[in-house]
Amino acid sequence: MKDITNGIIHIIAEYLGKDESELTADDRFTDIGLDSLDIMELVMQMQEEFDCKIELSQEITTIGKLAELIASQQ
Amino acid sequence: MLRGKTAVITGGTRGIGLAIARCFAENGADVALIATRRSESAEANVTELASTGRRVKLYVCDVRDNAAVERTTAEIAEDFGRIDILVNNAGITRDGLLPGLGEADINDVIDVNLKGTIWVTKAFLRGFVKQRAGVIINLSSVVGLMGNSGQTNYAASKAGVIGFTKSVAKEYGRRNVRCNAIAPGYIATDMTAALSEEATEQIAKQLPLGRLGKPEDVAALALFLASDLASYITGEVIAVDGGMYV
Repeated sequence: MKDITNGIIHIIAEYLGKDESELTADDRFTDIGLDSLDIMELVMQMQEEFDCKIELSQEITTIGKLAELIASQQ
Repeated sequence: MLRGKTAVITGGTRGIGLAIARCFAENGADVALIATRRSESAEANVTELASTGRRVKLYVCDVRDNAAVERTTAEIAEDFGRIDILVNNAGITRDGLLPGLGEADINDVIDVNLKGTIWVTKAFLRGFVKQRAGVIINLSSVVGLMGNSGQTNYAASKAGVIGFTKSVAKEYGRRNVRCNAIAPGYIATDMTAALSEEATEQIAKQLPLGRLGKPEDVAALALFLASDLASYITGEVIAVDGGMYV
């Protein structure tokens, strides 16, 4: 789980050009400057990275919740 | 105009699709063609297109089948690498008055013309978004704008393509993906060859330009839309119809 969270943070940090230390599991996507299209794009990348099918829903609003979803679908 | 670009064209082995493929290849693009079957004439057309010196390859895929579309997209990406332009041209007609249309007549037309366009776009969009560049050209029809007696199913499918085009343009404009539709009028192809000579003459007489269009008339617009000359045009529906829908 921690690995997944770290993996997500790594991908998002790279995408936003931020340092990984600036992001935490509690961060809401909208608060760190990600819109729906950004999230879709990141999810496509994460599907490849984590080799899983991610079915996003409105409730997945934070890095932590996304990590839980990926863990459950892996 | 398209040197160094790669284009994918569905229904690209005859009619308007073939004219677009020829025009693109002549203007420097490599071309991947998608057709429902590998016929002798399709192979001959591929050979002819390859004589332009561009890379041309034919892929057999039924655009109604989403899984097959996904497989073919992966195959094309493997063969060609980066794809720059997608032309959703595959289309069919099953004309008749509405009460006489069977379920298959309606489903087939919607499945190929509208859903096929959606599946293929969905499959290639991922690459376009990733590379922050892509051009999608959807073949609609003037019938999708003005309706036509005897073509309720076809008109519905082509009007659907227009709504889809505008929505994709809005969704992916910020990723530098442009999406436009071409609405041809009466173009002399196999599709309109079913009309009698008399009917064709009658139609031509009613058109401001007094003649049926040629597939090359449509290809010229596709070339413009695919090129960087159209880099600020998205979500548009442009008719190539000799003034039919004015």
